[in-house]
Amino acid sequence: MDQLPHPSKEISIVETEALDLNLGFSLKLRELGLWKTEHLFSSLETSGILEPILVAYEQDSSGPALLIDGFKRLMWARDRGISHLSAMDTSLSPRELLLFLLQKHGNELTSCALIALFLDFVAERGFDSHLILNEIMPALGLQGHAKLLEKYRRVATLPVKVLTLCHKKDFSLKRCINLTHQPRQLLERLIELEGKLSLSASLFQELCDAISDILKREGLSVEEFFQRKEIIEILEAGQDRATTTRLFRSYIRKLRNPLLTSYQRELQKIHKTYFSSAPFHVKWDETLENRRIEISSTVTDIEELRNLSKAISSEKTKKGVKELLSRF
Amino acid sequence: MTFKTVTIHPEIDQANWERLLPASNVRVGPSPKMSDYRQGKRHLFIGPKRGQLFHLCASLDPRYICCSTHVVSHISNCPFECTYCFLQNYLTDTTLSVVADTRAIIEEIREKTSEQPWRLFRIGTWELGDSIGVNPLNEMAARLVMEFASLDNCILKLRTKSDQVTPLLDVDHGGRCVVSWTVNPQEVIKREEIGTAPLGKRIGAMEQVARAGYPIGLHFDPMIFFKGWQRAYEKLVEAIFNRINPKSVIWISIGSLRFNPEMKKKIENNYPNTKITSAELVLGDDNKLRYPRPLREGMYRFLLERLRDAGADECFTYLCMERPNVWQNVFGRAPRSIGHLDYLIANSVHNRFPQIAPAPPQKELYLSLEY
Ligand code: SF4
Repeated sequence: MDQLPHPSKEISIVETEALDLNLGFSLKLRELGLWKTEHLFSSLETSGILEPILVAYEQDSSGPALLIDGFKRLMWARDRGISHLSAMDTSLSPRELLLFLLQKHGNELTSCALIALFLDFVAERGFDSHLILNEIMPALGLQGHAKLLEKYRRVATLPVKVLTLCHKKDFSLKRCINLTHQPRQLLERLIELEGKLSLSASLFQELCDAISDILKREGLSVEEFFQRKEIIEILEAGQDRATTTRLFRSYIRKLRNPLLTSYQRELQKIHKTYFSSAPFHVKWDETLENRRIEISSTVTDIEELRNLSKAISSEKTKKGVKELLSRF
Repeated sequence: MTFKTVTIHPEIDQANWERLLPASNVRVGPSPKMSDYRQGKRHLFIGPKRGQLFHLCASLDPRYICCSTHVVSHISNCPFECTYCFLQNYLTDTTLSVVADTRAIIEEIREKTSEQPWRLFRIGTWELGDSIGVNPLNEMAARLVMEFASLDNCILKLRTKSDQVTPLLDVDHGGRCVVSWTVNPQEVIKREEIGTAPLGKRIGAMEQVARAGYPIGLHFDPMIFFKGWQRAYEKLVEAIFNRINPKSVIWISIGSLRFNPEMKKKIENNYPNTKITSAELVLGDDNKLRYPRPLREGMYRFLLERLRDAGADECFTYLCMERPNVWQNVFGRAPRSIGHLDYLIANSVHNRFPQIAPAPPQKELYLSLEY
């Protein structure tokens, strides 16, 4: 990346309330709860504002100064009712401004969600898409393709709470994109359950996919779905998070795949009847596609082998295997 | 349907096509190479034959019992928009393209099929699109039909969801062409087979080709599961066989919805109102999602019974892309191999349509086929 030109050394006094914060990406981060002011504010408390903030004036405009850098200092000043601050004027071209923003925030963009927010932020502010594609995206380690930019911008439209989760759990772009296809209301409702459920990235995705399919299939709204007696019972039972997660997940799976679930139950019943004390494991294809039973065991001496072979060739085993196979 | 543009490759003799195409908006040049799946359907490109077009159906998977149809992939993309269509996740150049050089296609087929003169080749033209869905595809199909009359051990299989059969009616087909329809209840056609001919028109077109002496093929595939599916499929079978004599139906295939998992999001994006992706589905060894086996078997058995009720049990009926255990549970028997099914079909054609296959097929040769 090119070196940025130094801002001009002209210092002026600006009104804190009159500044245009349109370029404050930190504001976005704050929406996500990712920008904590406490630590910084405490250092400002001890030493005050040492550096002037950085502002720019749009050419041919009598509008307010645009805040380029110093968002945190400005917030601190506003908090304390300070009405004026010294500011350094810049005369940066749009390209230089963009690179400046990148330099300032590049290190903070540690997840796909934040990259999406940043790209959307600069695109939204009217920076030339050529600059974004050819300079910003490669600098972020991305290929400068319009379609990819479009994908990131789509991710940026996710509800703030979802983006926060995507950031915290470091969701991949694919996963984030997938969430953009889900009903917003469902995403928000699931996020609300974070206190009750342990939502890993894959579980969050699994639940979203399954529930949105159920909603579509049954013609239900998100609210109607979460009003189901069984769901309320699971969520309100006051169990620990792990148990609630397990119960919730298995209930959703059952709803998503009712036929497979009922077949599994039947097969497990057969298994219990015939093989619960068998010295071998019995497995079947859980998709029910392949008519095949797998029998496996480990032996450590000849006696065990003898017992195993006796158990395998017993009438009970034959009957059990026959019963299992008859379901395929 | 009208095309926004029609492009004819400079190597193609334009005079051959002029009669068939709208006078305006035809230009000479290379393929416009569209990339958008839907846009591509509105732009026709007529091009020369490049490379080999004749091969075994790409769905063939030795773990399943396939009917081992061969295909000529001279059509790419389709005027219709079935929500479940795999083309939406397959094509890179989405221009609706067709290879003009019928003679060259026939020569390729002749050369390859002559290596196994004992075998009855069923050759479809629907791998990447509808065989006759729109003019000039149907005119092109009529040319193929005429040429096929000279290929002794081949049957041309046209397959469509349209009613565009007029150019086929006066052709001397020599009995070597089967015109087939993919059929579904009208409610499925309306929801999932956008732009295709309604059921009544498809059946009307069947009557026309049957009168013109063509054998008819029926494909109840993909069967779609929805509330009230039984009554809908029952009515479908009745509607067809009230007007079509089973004697003119050479074969019936049955299959159910299946698609690659990657297609789920594509389908949902392209057709947000379809519910097909929200059904209970399992992933098979061939990386395709299908309804769970017990449900599929139930649907197949139900349809089979309705076909029997309609007197269509004399038609050779087979399952598309299913495992032997599914065959067993549906029919009470299963072909031993893909070659065996190939033989069974050839044998049925020989018995019921001897003008197509006068000599009985040699079972050992079919069984020795390797896939
Ligand atoms: S008719 Fe066939 S090729 Fe055409 S859109 Fe439908 S499924 Fe696809």
